[in-house]
Amino acid sequence: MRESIIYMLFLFVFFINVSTLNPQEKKIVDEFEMSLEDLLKVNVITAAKSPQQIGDIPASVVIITREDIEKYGYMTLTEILESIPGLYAIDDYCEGGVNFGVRGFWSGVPNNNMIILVNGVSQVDDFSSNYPLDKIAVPVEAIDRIEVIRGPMSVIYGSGAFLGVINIITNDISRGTKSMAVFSAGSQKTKKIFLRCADEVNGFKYVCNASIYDTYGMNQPLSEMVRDVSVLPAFGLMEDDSTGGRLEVKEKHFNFSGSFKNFYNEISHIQTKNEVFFFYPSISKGSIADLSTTNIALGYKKVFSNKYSLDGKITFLQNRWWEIYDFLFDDFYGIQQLESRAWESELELFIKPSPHLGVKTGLYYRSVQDASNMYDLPSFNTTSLENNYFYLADGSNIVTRAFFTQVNCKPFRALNFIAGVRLEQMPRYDLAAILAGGTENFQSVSGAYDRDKIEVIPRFAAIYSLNGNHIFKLLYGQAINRPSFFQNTTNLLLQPEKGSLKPEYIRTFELNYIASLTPDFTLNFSLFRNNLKNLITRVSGLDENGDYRTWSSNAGEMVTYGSELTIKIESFDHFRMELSGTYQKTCDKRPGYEEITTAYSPDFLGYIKASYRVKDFTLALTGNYVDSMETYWDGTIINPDGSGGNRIGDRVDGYFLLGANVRIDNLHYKGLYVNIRCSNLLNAEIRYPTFTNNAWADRGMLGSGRKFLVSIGLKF
Amino acid sequence: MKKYILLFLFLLNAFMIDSDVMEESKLKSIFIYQIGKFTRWPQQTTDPDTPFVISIIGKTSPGSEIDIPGDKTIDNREILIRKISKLQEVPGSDVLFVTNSEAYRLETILDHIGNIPVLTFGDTEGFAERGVIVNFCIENNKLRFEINLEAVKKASLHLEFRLVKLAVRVFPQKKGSRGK
Repeated sequence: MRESIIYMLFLFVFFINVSTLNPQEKKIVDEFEMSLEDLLKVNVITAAKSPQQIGDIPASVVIITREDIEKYGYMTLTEILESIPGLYAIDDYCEGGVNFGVRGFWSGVPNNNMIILVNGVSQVDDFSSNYPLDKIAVPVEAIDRIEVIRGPMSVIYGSGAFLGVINIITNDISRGTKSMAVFSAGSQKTKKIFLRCADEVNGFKYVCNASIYDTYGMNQPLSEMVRDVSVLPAFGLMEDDSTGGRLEVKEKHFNFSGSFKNFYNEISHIQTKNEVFFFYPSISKGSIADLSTTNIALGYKKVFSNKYSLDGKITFLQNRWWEIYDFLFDDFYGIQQLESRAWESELELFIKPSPHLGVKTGLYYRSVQDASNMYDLPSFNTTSLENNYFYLADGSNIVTRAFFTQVNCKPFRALNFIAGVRLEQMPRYDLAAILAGGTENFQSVSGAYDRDKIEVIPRFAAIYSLNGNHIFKLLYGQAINRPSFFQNTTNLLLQPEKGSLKPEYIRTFELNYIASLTPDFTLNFSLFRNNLKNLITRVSGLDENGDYRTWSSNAGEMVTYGSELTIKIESFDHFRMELSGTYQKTCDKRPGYEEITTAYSPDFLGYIKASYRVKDFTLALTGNYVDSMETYWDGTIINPDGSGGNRIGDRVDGYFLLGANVRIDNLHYKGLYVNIRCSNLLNAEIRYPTFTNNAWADRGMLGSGRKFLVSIGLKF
Repeated sequence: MKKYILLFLFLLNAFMIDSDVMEESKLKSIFIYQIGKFTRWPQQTTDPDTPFVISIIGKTSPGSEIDIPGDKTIDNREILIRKISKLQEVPGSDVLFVTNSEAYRLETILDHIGNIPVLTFGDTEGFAERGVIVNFCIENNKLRFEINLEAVKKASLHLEFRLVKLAVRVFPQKKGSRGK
């Protein structure tokens, strides 16, 4: 008791001490009116905490600015991500939105290859441990900057930063964009209203973004997605039915960022009601995925001196998906509800004892306190699909705890060594399920995820900078991707003999060269090798009762060799151009798969961006080419000749997506602008390779044709 | 466990130095604003419809740009900050900030400016010696600046003497001089 009182007293004194530091903030309201003499007394914060130069970051980095977004007129976050070298879209029409493969790898799980943050807050869905874009739904007008760090980043960001990290910044008003109002309308009955207000009042800075987005969605014939049109009536459809009215999207986004003195907070609430195709094509108004997600973060950031700074944050995250299926016949009844709730806390300490040495170290703790999956599809007349409820057992939390540290050492001005390590552990947790509730086959089962091994994740980098204009980076990193709650429930409760899954694992070597040969010409070249092991793949088959089952296995192993080249040219007045190409080859290393072309892995990706600006008029073009892709190889398929194994769908051809944008700023009134964007200008046929969750579309899912969006906005 | 937390907090407390701190880019922005106020240009205008133009040539990373709040003015003129890549865009600037990436062609930039009255800034070692009027440097964790008086004269600018007194080094240096 006495010890506790002393402890509390010390904490109180500590926080009083902390809160009374930095008298500058108390004395000076407007730093820009400080005298020169006072300014000369101020300690300056440099590399340890301020944003790093791209050349100093031990990874391959791409930055998209608000200026880029406005110049190219991107309509959605998906369009922005499509323009990032190494990323390619795969739209399976399924819940979660468009998926992205990265550097020749797509796992099949929606967006679980890269961590996505908004203002530093993780957007993970704890049910599937992934980052569905429908859940993020950030309007492009809210985005001030996107930082894309490619390569394994688990040392700092933990499990999930498998192939990189995407941080979307919506609260940076330092470049002058404060309040704005935008109205957009376009083809596919698309409508959007966006509002932003931002200001600084007596030291309280805030940015508030809100938007409503509504689109009817594309109208593509279903007959073009199946080899045999006669199967459509078997799904309850007419042969000439289309996706029209079955892929509508409604999104509401609200985000508030505030900071006062050393405290900051982030609040976001997103509601989406998207129509999707999931296992079967929808027959009337579309299967509905209704999502509600809330994130609340409170942080404290304190710079004690040029040598020490601290950043601590507590985040609450909650997701709820409610799905209503529209399958096969008019009175079909099928629903599913996925829920998760988690707390996350992180404390980072930056120490810079000398100009040549910097240390970033931290503690991380995450507790998923609720995760569940309920589905009931009685219309299938299969008890295995009736009243099933999978959940985190009472009193059990999914805990992730970690310690990490990264040291930057600069023995010479031109040379920088970085070494880091993360120790991360997920202790045992218990799961349970009620199967076929209310039927004669009712079952109650339980299990435990018991792989609590401490994962040791290292990284090393050496950066050599020659005059700042030639930078060589030699990078080595590892990352892990832990199995999700969903993957563990299907394994541990339905096939307990399969045991606990291991984390997926990646090891990357990369050589990156950045050359600024002149201010008008920049070149960025990378050679990389990714070695992916323990990849969790879905396996399907019949159980001893003859019921169809799917489960997960750590069977996957792949190796990707790749090269990326990006050239930026600014050699003519008002003209900017960026060309990028990625060539990669992914090989499936599983025994027996060596000769089988890897699915969802295009060999070549190409990107082009060009803009011409004269005063307030901007004309811009964007283009990206995605090479052909194969579909999933299903080893359980028995071919007519009796052999086993085949693709679930046709190989899709490569496509080139061209977009154009015209923008006029300060139209008769300062801050008033009009923007006209056309995507898929050439109306090219885009076909995404089918996946197991919509295998009926064996010719591939069609992408959107030509689309227009006109926006009128006012910045003030 | 509590013992370790107490020890950690104690050590942290001991390291907390009660000092004023600010991000480097913000501090530079304030200095540029303040030095701009202490400088006189030939044929200086106070027309509020003519913006005070600060041009930045060279590469900067996001979050480290020069930024001055929109409500600030110099001689009643709204401050306009713009990034340029071409030397042809320099005329019309009151201030030109030359970043580190332009080190290899600094002489070309300064030759192009010639006698045009532009207050040049830099933040790279050796820039003041090479002809930039005000060059920032960090010494003992403080932001300092050097001044090249020959460049001031060439640009026909008038800097208040107070600035010269506050400069950590003044160029051209006399033989044997080691600065302040």
